[in-house]
Amino acid sequence: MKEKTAIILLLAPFGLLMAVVAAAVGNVLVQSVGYIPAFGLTKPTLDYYLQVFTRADFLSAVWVSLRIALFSSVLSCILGVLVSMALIRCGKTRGGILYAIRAPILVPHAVVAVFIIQLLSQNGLAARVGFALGLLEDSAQFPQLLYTPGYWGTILAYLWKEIPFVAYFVLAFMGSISATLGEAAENLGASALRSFWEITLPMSIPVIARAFLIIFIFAFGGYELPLLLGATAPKALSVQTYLAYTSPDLLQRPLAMAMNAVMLLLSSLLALIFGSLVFRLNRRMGGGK
Amino acid sequence: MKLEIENLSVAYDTGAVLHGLSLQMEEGEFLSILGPSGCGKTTLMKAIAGIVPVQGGHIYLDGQEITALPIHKRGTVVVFQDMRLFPHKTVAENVAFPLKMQGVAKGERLRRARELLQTVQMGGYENRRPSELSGGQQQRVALARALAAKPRLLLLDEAFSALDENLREEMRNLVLQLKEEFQMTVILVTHDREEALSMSDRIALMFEGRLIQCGTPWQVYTQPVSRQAADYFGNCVYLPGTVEQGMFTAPGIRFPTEKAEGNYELLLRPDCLSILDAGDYPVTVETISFRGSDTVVHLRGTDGVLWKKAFTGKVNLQVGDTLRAALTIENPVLFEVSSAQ
Amino acid sequence: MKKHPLMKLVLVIALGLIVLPMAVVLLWSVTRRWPWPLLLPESYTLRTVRELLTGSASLPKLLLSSIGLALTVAVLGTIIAMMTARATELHEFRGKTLVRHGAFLPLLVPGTVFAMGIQLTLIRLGLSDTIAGVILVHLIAAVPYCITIMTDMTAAVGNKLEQQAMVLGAAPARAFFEVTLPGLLPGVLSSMSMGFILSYSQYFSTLIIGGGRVKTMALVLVPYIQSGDRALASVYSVAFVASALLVFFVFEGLLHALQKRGDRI
Repeated sequence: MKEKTAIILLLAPFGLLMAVVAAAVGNVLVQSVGYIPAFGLTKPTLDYYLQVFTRADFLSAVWVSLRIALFSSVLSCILGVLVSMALIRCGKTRGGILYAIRAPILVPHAVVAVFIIQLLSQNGLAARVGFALGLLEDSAQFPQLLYTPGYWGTILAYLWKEIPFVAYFVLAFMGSISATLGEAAENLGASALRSFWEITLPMSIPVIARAFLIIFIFAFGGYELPLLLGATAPKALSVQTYLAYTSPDLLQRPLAMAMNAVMLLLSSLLALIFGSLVFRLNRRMGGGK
Repeated sequence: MKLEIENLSVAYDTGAVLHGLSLQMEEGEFLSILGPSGCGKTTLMKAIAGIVPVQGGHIYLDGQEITALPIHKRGTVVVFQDMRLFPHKTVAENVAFPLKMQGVAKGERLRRARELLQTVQMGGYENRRPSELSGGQQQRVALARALAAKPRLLLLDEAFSALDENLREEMRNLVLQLKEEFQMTVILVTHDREEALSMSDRIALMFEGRLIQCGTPWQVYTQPVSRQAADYFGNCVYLPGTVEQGMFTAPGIRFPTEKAEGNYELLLRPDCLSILDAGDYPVTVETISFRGSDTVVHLRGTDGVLWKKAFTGKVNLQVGDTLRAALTIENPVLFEVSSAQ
Repeated sequence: MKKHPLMKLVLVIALGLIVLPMAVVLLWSVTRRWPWPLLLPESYTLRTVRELLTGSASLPKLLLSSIGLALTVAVLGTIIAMMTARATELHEFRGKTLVRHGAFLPLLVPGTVFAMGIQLTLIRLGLSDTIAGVILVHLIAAVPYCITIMTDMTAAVGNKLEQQAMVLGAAPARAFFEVTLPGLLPGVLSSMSMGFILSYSQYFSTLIIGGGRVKTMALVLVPYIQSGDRALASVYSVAFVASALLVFFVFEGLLHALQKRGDRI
């Protein structure tokens, strides 16, 4: 019985935090069906969801956020794994270079927005270099990456931050696989590339999937980067939602919450799919090490 | 000449590990690289397999220089201590892996894998995952997988030390049997003296990145080149004495030798001491410990030397008994004692 | 293993792309004029640095409050993570795996959704527009990562030494502080550094829960970016990143010193 008390005490603060998360999710769901007594709204209804799914600006916002999240996470994972393999192959899994690779993880998103503006706006450094090399005659010829519906500036900002994140996130695991099983594969006649494809990469998929999920959900709900680098229309989902949330028209509040609920639903759905995928992969590898 | 290593040097960031090491090996030979942990034997094996870069020297296999060849083109196949079976592949896929790398068609390579699994008595386990196997079974699969790569040289990296006593014996026999069957050249890296002595055609004894002695197990055990080499096999007793006018003299012992005059120590092992005879070397019984299959008796000579001798059967001795033992020396080994000490 | 020239190239490109924007922002932070199409600024100024030090948002106060807030989150998050990890790794109870997986749940709730969802509750609790409220929401963002780190660490350290200490006559609390905590320290430091970074770079949750009362670097920087003053945005960016790196390297240095001491034993 004494142990039980100890466990309860140890888990109490964690439980409290989880309760706060649950409360937030609960609030979102309750308010999204239009139940906000403080605003005089007491009749639950699904109208707001209906509105959300029929409004063009909302649908395009979903599309924008999905696009940002998908491009950012897929490219980050591919390039991050590449950087990680480069670190492993060059024997730089600790020390100086690794600190440089980790640096972007420490740089706040708002600062990354500054980087992207200075480098990739139409009069940014990249355009200037292009001009100096004679590739462009005018700054307007530089592709418009920022403040456009393509959201390429936002995606590139996420890449700058998340490629190193993936590289660092998978480094320890891929390094140990490469040094044991990868080495064994090469010893059995596989070339370095073959050994990566046949052994190291498939073995690392659960870890890569975790990194993918973290980035996807973060970029999907991210606020600063699409706000600072994106177009005025269509907006990213989080920006659109916050706009509705802070609207003086109180009836926009349940609408914002319905958007939040949809965002939550999509995130959870993805997590569920990935969770089961990773679970099955781990099982196939016999519990997975 | 199957394998030839010339003046091989390997260094890590932390310092040199192999210092200009040379070694030759015949086709079809079973060689053990024996030495304490940290002596560089695993590094030597990895250098042969191309897993660690070498700083100097050459490695030839069948007369072809392989020093700069990438790992996968060498044909020097390692069975690692931790097996390193691929957990995401089935047992059969594991064994078929080297064939896949060689471009063998799927049906053919799975057929070969089945055959090889039968050879290591693992038939019927084709579709299992490595995690479902016991340690001994995993070792068999790892062996089959190595065989599938058609090794020009098979390297066993402390291959049996992860197994328990009974399995180890079984695996050793299996390896020796496969060596004959596939006519392989094998290097066993081990710190286990008994294993090296019992399995090998020759033993290469390594200390601190250098090859100290290379010879048949009998030579290495009975004619060690230094006290260090002798001590590694344990159970050594040294009798201090002197060589004068071509004769070595120590209490109770005198024999002719070709060594130069000076102070020497004579290497003796317990089998030199016989206590059943009435000899001229008195010893006192200090302790008697019964160990089941034998009884170890600690005997102290009058010269202060401690002997540990094992007896089988009932021992009719008491602590404190004084016995008249005898020393018989067939191939005396003398180590010079430097006068500085 | 052979070094592949292509792999080396990848590293060189990666390092270049990491360092380049930092160098450019450093340059921009002291730029007076940098007209198209010059590759380097035309003239330099220290106006930005003066503004940074003496302007409306005084830097020392701002840094103090930002770093203070982030360190508080780091310490609290690590303590919570340590307790949770101890429960799941060293005790047996039903629902253990649920807790382990549950720790990741906050990561599945996008930060914006969470902040908008919790605001009403925090207003009711009187925590909105307060530092306590901001600490709470930052904790939610940091704790999943802290728990991951502390779980691995706790599992590795185990309670063998603690049991040994108790057998030798140490009271449970004493045994924990004398034996287990020193073993956990490397994990504690990485968890704190993770918690610090996560809190330090929060923007949205600070904005919505802090209500403008809680000022942090991120909160001050964003309006400068929106206003299009590149020089000022740059100088705040430099201060922001430099302070983050400084604290990070203090943690890293402590970790290093700790490992060195560990090596010597």
